[in-house]
Amino acid sequence: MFRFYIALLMGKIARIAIKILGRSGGTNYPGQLALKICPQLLAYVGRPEKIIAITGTNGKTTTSNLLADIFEKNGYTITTNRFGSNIDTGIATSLLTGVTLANKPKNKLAVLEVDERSSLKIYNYIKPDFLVCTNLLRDSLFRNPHPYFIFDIIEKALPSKTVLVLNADDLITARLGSLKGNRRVYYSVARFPEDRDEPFNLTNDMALCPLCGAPLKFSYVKYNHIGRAYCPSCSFGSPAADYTLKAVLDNEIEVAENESEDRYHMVYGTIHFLYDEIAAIAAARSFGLSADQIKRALADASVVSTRLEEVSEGEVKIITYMTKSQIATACSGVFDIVRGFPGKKEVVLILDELHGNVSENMSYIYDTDYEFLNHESISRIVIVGARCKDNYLRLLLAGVPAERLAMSETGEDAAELLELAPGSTLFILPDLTQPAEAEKIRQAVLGRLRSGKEA
Amino acid sequence: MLRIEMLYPEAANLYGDRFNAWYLQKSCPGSTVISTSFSDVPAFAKGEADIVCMGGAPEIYQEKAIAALMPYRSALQECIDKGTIFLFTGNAVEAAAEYIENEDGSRIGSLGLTKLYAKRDRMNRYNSIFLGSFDGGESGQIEIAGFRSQSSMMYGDNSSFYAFASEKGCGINRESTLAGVRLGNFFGTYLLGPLLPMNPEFTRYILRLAGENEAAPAFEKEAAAAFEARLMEFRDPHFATENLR
Ligand SMILES: [Zn+2]
Repeated sequence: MFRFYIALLMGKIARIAIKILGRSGGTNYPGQLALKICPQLLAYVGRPEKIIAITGTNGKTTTSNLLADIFEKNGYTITTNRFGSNIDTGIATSLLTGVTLANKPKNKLAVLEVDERSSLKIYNYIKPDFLVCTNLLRDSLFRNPHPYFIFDIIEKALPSKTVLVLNADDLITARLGSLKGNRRVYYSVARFPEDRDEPFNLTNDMALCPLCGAPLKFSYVKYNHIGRAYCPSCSFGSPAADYTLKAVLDNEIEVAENESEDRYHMVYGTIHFLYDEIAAIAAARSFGLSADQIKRALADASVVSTRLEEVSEGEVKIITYMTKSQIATACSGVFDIVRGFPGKKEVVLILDELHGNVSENMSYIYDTDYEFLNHESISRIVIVGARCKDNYLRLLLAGVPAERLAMSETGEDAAELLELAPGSTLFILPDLTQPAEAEKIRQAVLGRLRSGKEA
Repeated sequence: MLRIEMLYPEAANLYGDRFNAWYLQKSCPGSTVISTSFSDVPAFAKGEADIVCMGGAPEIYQEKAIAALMPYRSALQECIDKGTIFLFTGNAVEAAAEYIENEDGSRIGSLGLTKLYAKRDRMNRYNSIFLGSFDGGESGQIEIAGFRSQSSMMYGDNSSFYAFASEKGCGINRESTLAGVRLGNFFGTYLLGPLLPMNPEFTRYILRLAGENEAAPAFEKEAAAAFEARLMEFRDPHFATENLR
């Protein structure tokens, strides 16, 4: 324990020092230092009465933020890593910040976003009362070979007393806790008119029944393997949901819970955010907040989508949509939105670039649905970046006619390669690392439109 | 016209592996792609496949694929002996091993086409670029460039049956410079999925092996341009071999 108190003290000093010096790293370094001094730190640090952890491939940050908001607006002061990292060092920093020098927790509740791969390092010590898992999908190859790998890590790390709040529409996630008999609460999003009958992406990681091996049948599909499915040969299928987002009504969502129905303010209307919101509602209800408490808290909630920016110049709309390169499911999701957007469109892809001395594994483009961009409403695709030739070949293999394609390795002439027809929409799709390049191209397009050179 | 078999594409499809079969089909118009699922008798076992592709899979499905192939092991060996082309990518190469060892020491029997064995180490992934070559006979030395991202390695002596000699990136394990397995026209490699679209000259070589002398890799010019750009990057000493983004 002596080591622990030294670690606690040093962690706190480091945090204050970073603050005074105005340095970055204040949400990670103190925990890193403290863990170095006392590797068992997470076992000793004063535990808030209740801990809610949130994990999953996509949506864990939004879901955590929504949950933190819901509790704060209901008068809770919470320990959270919302401004810090979601691996063990970030969690350690948050928990150290959340205790006094006598190791007494300052708050009764912690809301912690947890990186899936860090599960073993964290749940061995910090046993959450509730664990929300949003979904398990293919992710960056570098760390995650496939969703079953992540499933196994979480399942192994899972304390048996933790109540699981799970996405019933993801049959990989939905099976968490089946070995240890955890109590499970499920949420779901009902079928919407735009949903498909069959999986429509290149990748579907729930094609086969995990019990008997028969091909699964889907009742509806949102994207990839997210939707409701059943096995025609045995009893396996999507579990019944305790909380179902039944419909979207203007700026509200309708949620069914047992026999009752409640309406909540909708924070954002796209499918990913709808799942995040129903996840947060299900977790907060499971924790014990009333539907009215959650409704009031969500009444003025909004998520600022920093990933999407829209401007118009003359009769051309420009939408910049940050797209996570290297993650096939993320790129496919954006390509699907572009395809479905009404009217004539052009696309600038800035997904792959040189990053210092590091090569990128370009295999992901063959798991990504470039086929979605083979659509008569998309008249031109300009591919920007050092690896534009890979994307060019991939688009040809997706069936896009060569006359719709252009490459601009440096991006300098990208604006000149577009048609920018009146009434059309230009989608600029940069990787998260390419906002500056995207902005340069957007300014060049705006310049061209303003000078009246458009076709 | 080729009969291209894809083994277990419903599960052995990590990292875009199915594009190897689709690229061959595009390169040789009129060819058919046969998708064989776990409950089917493989086309090669019925003498109905010219090229057989299998891709990487999550470990549970890799094991299921090996178990599904086990009853056809001698048919597979006969196909290899008579020159049928096989392209097993990602962890599908481990079908050629004797067994696969888990982290806890437990073993899963594999097809045993070689005396090699595989060892899993899932918490320590190996990510790298790969640059290598092999002697393509009349086609000359053929360069191979691709990517690796894997949770297992193979061990044993493959010096008399390796697929590619490595210039950058390791062989079947970190100590080896000889990559993959080559048994007649059976190619097994840890290189990931879209190996053929990324290597048009290798595709041409495969087409020749299959007797399609007139066929050319689909979008040959564009594929070659992408390949050349990749070679330049991989040969550039500035770029690290391991730790991809
Ligand atoms: Zn079944």
